[in-house]
Amino acid sequence: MSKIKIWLEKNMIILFLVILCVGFGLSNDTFRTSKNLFNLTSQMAINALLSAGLTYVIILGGIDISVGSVAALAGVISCIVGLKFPNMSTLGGIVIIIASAVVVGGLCGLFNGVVITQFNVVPMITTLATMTMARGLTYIVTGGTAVFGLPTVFSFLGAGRLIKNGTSPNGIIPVVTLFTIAVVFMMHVLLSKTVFGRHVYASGSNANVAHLSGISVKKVTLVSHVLCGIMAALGGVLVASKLQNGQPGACDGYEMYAIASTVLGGTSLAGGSGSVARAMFGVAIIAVINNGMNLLHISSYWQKVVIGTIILLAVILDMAQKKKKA
Amino acid sequence: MKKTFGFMMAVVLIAALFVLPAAAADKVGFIVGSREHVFYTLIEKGINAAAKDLGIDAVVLDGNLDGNVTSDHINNLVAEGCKAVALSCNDPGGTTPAMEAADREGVPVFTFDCTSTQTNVVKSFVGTDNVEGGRLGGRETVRLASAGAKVGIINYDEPQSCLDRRAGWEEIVKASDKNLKIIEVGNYVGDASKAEQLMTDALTQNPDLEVVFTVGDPAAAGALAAIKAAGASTKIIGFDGNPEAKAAMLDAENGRFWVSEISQNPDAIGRQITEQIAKYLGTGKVDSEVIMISPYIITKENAAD
Repeated sequence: MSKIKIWLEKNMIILFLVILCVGFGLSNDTFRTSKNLFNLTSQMAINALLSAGLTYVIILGGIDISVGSVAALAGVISCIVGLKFPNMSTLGGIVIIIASAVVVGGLCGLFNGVVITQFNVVPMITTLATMTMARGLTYIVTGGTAVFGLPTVFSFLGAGRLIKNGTSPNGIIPVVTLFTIAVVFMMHVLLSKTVFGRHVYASGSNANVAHLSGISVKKVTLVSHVLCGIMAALGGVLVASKLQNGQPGACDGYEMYAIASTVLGGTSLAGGSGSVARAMFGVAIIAVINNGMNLLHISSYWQKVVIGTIILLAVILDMAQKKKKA
Repeated sequence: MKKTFGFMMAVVLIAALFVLPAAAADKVGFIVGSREHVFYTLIEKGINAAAKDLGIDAVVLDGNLDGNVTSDHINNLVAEGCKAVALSCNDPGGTTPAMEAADREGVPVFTFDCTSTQTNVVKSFVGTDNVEGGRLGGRETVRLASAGAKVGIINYDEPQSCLDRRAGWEEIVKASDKNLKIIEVGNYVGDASKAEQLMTDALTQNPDLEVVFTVGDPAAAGALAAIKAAGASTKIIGFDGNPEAKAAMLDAENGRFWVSEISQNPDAIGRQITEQIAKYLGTGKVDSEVIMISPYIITKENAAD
């Protein structure tokens, strides 16, 4: 009995997700359909990528509020590059999308990392500046208008589906879901099973002790911000691929959902603890609430109130559990 | 000596007539809602083109859709010596005090796109008749839908312009004798990706949704992605008349879904407000206190025009 209690205390977030799914499933028939559940996984994808990257910098005790703007910049850049190759193949489209994300996201993350580690500017201010600059650049390169006219193959990664049949001629399994699972899995393994991952936890727990132990905290911080930038950019190019055009106003405010998902998943804003896999439960909770409330035709205003309340309750619960352990 | 002095004075006076600058053009301040929206950048183009034709020195600023920023701009433009100020009044409550202060300073105030009903200092307002635009969308919806069909709307609950479009659309659809069933797809809050999610959820629940009307083009772009991914055949009616809408309608694949567009005329709004200001500065009168630029329908047939 006590084992169950301990498991429940440790995995309250999973229990909450199950309760939400059961509640929406009972109140709406469509929610339970396989079609909706696959849609749900594709709707989680963008936030999942953003949260996976953010987990690293939050474990370090930092923050990155530029992820939404970096995503938008990468999205429009991938479309501008894509327009140069009107006869691209499906593989070519994927290469353009991923390369744009790695370059744009990597440069933005590198900029954040260098400013934070070399100039000792606090992450909040650094990434606030990057957020503003990246959004400004997005409007400069697009002139304020959407980048459109891309070939259909460009949307394979963001909107394509696999396993077509008579009832689902467009396919069942979203490609974006499989892609996101693969990337998030790699991010999880990197954080939980490698030396670099352990360095991230050590640097986030106590930077001075980590430094005295021979860990290059600056290098760890720099690499983590680069990873976070690339994840944000991947999210942005997937939005562009899904919509088959680059919207300069895309992903506005997505950083808040990503931070909320990461914190909901148990990553401590004080640094030192958290996991990519658990952040995905936070992502799932927000996606389920949005999806369930959409299906029940609940106003978007109430959705904001509900999500805000849940985030607050999760953080209070987290703090209470930590206090109990102490 | 006197003759030489007189000659030199005459030369100096004649030279001065050529050297002294001609009477400076009237400087007029314009504050567009946001340079981040293509609609306002097109209004700005119309303002600049008309100002050039009319010999007006146009100072165009970005209001960032923020009442505080817009108020500061109004005060600065008055201090700069502008002969008139025109603004897109997206936050009437926040900008009305600055508009009234400008009027007290003797600087006439004009509005375009959005106006304030909280003050009577506005000399003339030029904007789109959004209710009529919504009605056009409603007529297109009724034309495209079969009797008893489900028709949806992707709305944006914050801007008054979008609420007006929705009101006009509902008026026509509800009055239709086709007995159409309205599906609330949801509030897309100006985010195309959010519109895609909402439309995906709506199609999961209502795969037989025949037509969807969107109050803005980003929502139509999101709806298009969702419809294609779901393998549905829902027809889209967009609103704005942005270049991507025309490109989608002309595209062989996307044009099967995005079939109609209610277009505003931002260039005409920019030109008309500038012309009204020039007329007021010249004669002290305007053509009308309210000038509505009618929206119009674009389909595949006239999208390339």
